Amino acid sequence: MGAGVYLAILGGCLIATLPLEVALRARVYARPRRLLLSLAPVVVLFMGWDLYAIAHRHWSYDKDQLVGVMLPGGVPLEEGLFFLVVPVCSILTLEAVRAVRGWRVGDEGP
Amino acid sequence: MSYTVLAVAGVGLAVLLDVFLLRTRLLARRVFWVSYAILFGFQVIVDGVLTCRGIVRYNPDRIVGWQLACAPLEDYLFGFAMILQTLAWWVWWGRREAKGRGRLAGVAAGAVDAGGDGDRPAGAVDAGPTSL
Repeated sequence: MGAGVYLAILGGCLIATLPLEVALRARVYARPRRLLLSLAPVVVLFMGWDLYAIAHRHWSYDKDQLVGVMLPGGVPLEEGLFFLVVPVCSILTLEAVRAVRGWRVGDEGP
Repeated sequence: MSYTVLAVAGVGLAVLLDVFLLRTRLLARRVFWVSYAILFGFQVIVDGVLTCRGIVRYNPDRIVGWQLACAPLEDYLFGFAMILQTLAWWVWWGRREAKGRGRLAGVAAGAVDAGGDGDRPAGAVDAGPTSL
């Protein structure tokens, strides 16, 4: 799978967490407006961090293990998707833990 | 700035958001720490694959050099900052929606009340939702 390793990992994260939405009724994808509003500031901030880090050589990527699609600023496609996939998986995990344990998260209505 | 400095700043900003700016107080909730523990486990695996396989490579001059499963300590701070900030925004937007629903319910209750004996002060409509 060489070039597709990073992309496959991200796909694996989405597939592994999908049962949380369906079986545990996490209802994260079911609330797209709230999801997008929550992701927007995170994507902007962490993509900015990534751009800075790439420009200042904090880290670099092995192009042989990427699909080869580059976003502006030298950010690999996989890295851009990372900032969507990881937050989505994080929210799914939080909602799954709430669904199973019934603990308060802080957004409960009046 | 080194990755180390930025990673610590990233955690600082996420904590600031959670505690003071959004007041979501996830850091004080069990649900957050259990979720983070699960996510941390997956991060060790995913980050381990990305770094052990050399998909992502770090400039040794920009990190302190402590590692877990090939990944630098800074990556775990980066992950913590991203998870906490994401969840804080998620709860914050959910809280706003819940308040909105409460307000709608209050308006509906007020309308019903107005149709009755009408002894309820107008300001009472907003009192419920805002007293959260």
